[in-house]
Amino acid sequence: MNYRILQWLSSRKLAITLLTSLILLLLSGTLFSKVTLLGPPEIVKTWVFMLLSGFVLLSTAICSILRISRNSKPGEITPSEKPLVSIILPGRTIGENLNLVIQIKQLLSSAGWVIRSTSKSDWEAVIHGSKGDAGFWGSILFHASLLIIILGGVLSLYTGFYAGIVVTEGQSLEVTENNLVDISRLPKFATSSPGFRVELESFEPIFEQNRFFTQYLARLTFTDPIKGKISLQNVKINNPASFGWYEISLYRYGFAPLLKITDNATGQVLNDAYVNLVVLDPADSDSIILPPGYPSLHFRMFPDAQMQNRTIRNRSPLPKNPVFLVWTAEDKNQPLPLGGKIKLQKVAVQFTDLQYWANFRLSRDAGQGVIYLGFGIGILGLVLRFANPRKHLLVTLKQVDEQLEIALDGSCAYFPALFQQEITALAGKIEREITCKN
Amino acid sequence: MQKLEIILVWIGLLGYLLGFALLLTSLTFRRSRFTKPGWYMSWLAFFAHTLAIVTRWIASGHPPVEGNYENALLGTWFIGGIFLAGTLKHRRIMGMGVLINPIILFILGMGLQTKTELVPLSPPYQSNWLWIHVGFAWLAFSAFFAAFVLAVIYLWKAKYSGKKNGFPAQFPELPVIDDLMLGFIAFGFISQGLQIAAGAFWASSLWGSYWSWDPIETWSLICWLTYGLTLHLRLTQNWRGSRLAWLSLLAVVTEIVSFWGLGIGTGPHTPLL
Repeated sequence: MNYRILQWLSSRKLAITLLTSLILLLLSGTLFSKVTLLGPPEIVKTWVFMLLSGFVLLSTAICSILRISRNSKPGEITPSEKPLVSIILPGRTIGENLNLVIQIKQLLSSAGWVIRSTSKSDWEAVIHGSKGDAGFWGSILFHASLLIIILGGVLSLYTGFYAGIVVTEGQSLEVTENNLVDISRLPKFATSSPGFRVELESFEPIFEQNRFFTQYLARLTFTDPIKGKISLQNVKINNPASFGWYEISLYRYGFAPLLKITDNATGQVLNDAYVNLVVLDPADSDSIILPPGYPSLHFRMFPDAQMQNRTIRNRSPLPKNPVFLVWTAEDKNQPLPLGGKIKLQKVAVQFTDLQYWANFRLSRDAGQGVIYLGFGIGILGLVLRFANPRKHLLVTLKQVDEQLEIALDGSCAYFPALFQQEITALAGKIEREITCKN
Repeated sequence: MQKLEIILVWIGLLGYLLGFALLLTSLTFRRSRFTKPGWYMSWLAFFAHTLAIVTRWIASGHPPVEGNYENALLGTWFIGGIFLAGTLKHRRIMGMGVLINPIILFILGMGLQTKTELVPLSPPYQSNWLWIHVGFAWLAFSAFFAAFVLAVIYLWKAKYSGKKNGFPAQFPELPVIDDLMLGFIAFGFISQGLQIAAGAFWASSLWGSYWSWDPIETWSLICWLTYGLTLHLRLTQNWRGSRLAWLSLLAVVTEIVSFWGLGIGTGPHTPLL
């Protein structure tokens, strides 16, 4: 009974069913996510996907173990009734030239065949060769890689840390769970607070010809209060910083004006701090929500403003002459340059300084390395399997009356027709060599 | 410099067109003597195409991977390259050009309709992983596409298997086409595995996450699993011949969706900055 379960779990039909089901689930996640509200990230966390992945894990593991025990040694093959190619050499005998078998073996070796065994009598000689024995291990490696990738995925799911922080230039932030934004995954069995402090010392986007954004340079200082460790690092595109097992890469940035907003009637200060606005050029607009009773303030940014015929134009993305257009539901837009102040119906807004803010992604994932390892092993396995598939060859030299018959037979499970061509070419080579040298 | 590149591209286009015309003549009028000139013409076109890529690369200072035109230029080079490399070992598949050349003409023609001006490499592309990821992506696409073309030829030849002369007779025997289909699928499967792995490395350093389940990542995985299933069916369930051909025709849809269905030409898959 138990053996039947093992057989079912390792069956190829189950593997195909599981693989098809996983494909269909992912397809449903991409095609019908608007209807089902389940996109691929949600699909992979459903119990159905988890269960199927578990079965894939079991099936692959059992199949690999059974396969190793069954097929690790190249099997013997027996000559078939109808060989792939036959050569007839009239008037020749095996006995006349003992070197004939050696000659054929040398030819096979030069063509990459490993001679497994040779048997010879007065009237018959059989040479068994094989190729691609490493190809078998390629298959095992590939299946092992699937196990490693799935295990890496599970490890990633339970220990991965993926969240963001937002820091304004010149300010620092303690990275605790309360200060995290855009949390996509937190570890289930470990702390969710990295605990170190990050200071954004400076931030500089670099533009070519004042038009094309080409790079950024964020200078960060990390401080670990427990270990007393301090590290100053630069973050660039494709070049994240790392601190205490965490990788820190930039996700996006924007302008952070220092805005003092006061109530016109009472003089109460509603805001006197840097505000991180999602604005980089006049195409973007963002707003600030004030306490109840006050209108929302809307902003549009002109980093390098120039007045032309009473309209504001932008010359470049660099903040050379920053001007905001500010408006509310009740007020028309008014330009607010750096160092300026505008008075709206209910509030007054003063713009005294401008910095950048940056949104960094923090990640730490023990499963990532495991998945990479799995992929590496899998690729190696596939290359071994397909570049060097397992082949068997049986060369039989038989004395039939006054003639010598050389039959070439063999098998290659993956590419039988190309194997037939290879054997035909080999037979031609053998015939030419024997005829020339004797 | 750009003038030279455009001249070379047009020589390439003309070569692929003439190659196609000769192969089509061979097909429709059953004149097999036109097959080899069609193949030579495809080689000539490929040579001009290669020079155009080199010229653009030198002028821009980066590999042609920025924008629709550059993607079309590089992608079609891989499609043409893998087909012509295949014909060096298996001469009897040179007639595949009758399907390969028009696709090259179509994709390259579409690319020429978009902006061809030189622009600096956008920031996310400034990585060594770009070469590996994009290179293997195109290699995988070209191999899967070659398997697709062989599948069409297989089904076509199987339908007219009784006829001795004619165009289908110029191709190898059906079992050989079947093996070649498997070879191209396996090659594409390995290339796509490398593409996904390299993409994960790149994404990790760029976005701080090696896998984000964005549409292109998901479709790449679907495509990889679909071809994995195809290989599994061929190798373990002995799905040969027509069955493998039909699987190839269906599986290539997933590759086309992940390449063009989701708008890769407009930039990196997840917007950064």
